[in-house]
Amino acid sequence: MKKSAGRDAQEVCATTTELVAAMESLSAEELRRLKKAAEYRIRGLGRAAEHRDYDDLLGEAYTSTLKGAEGGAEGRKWAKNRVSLVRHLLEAMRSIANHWKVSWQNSGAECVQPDWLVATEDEEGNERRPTEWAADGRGDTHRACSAKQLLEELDKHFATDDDARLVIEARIEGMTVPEMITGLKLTEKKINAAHQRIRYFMEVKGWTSA
Amino acid sequence: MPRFDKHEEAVMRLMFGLADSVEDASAPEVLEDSEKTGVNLLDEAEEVKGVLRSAGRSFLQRKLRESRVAYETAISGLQRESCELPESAEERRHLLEGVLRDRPQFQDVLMTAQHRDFSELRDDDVTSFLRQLKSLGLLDMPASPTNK
Repeated sequence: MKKSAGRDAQEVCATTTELVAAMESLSAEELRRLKKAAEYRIRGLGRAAEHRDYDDLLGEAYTSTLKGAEGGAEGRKWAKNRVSLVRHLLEAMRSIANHWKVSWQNSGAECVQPDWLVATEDEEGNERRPTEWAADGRGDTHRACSAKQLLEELDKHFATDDDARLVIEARIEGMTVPEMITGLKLTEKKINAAHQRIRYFMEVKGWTSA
Repeated sequence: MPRFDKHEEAVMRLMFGLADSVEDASAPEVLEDSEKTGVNLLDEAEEVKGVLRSAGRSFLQRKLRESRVAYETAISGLQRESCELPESAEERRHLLEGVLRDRPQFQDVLMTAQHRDFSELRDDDVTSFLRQLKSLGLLDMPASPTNK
């Protein structure tokens, strides 16, 4: 066990062995939660995802935690006594997705960068360039359904579902669940049920993945 | 600078909100979601675990590649330094003799029990000692410590 050099000196950070053991014992429900959260974040990033998929986001969260478990200053430390591994990975994915969004917005040259500059490495260390992605079966989530079309479809589908429409609008405004309870006078139960109906629609339409 | 249009901004906030809703959903809700959409939970679990294992493998392989590069850099550095040693075996032996005469404290560090007799040292050992001294930056040190 290692103590984090970060904000709380008493915080106990997991070792690599503890991290791998915790990953191997994640339940099916926890793994599904990770996958779905990653998919929605990638879908939300749209063009800023730059051909990344849910597995890239989840993989990045996990590898940065492996790096953090080595004890150096780099990577993300999993404070195993404070949060579960699932909660840690969910927070890591939120942070990474925000970072990708900001990086994309600051990149300034999404379409004019030479492909060798934005090349990535696969598992075996082979270089992969964006020009090769075009021939790849992995689609671009943005191309699968445009943002405008998605909003129109949601409007149409939930035209007679007041709670779901309110929740969609509230989320677009950036409201949290407690803010919806106070501001929209909806109960938490109704909000959760509306979220479930929206998620179901997204999944049935195949809009959560590439 | 690339920018989201207003629809993309709206979708991003909505999707991030749905991600939050998945994160905060109760376990029965998550299981209900998969049941409704007819997903085989065990197959999906294997797929996601595969993603995590694969990421772990890539991380390890990257580390191994980095270690190999660092090792090869160190070896080539040592080989470069050895080139700067005197060319003949006799000159190298004289150099080491001189170093050990001027800095007897190194003798205990370099000479092991099996190499107590300097005259019995092979040229390989002499070269190796000189390399070690050079890589530690001790070969060009002044004979006695200077007082500040």
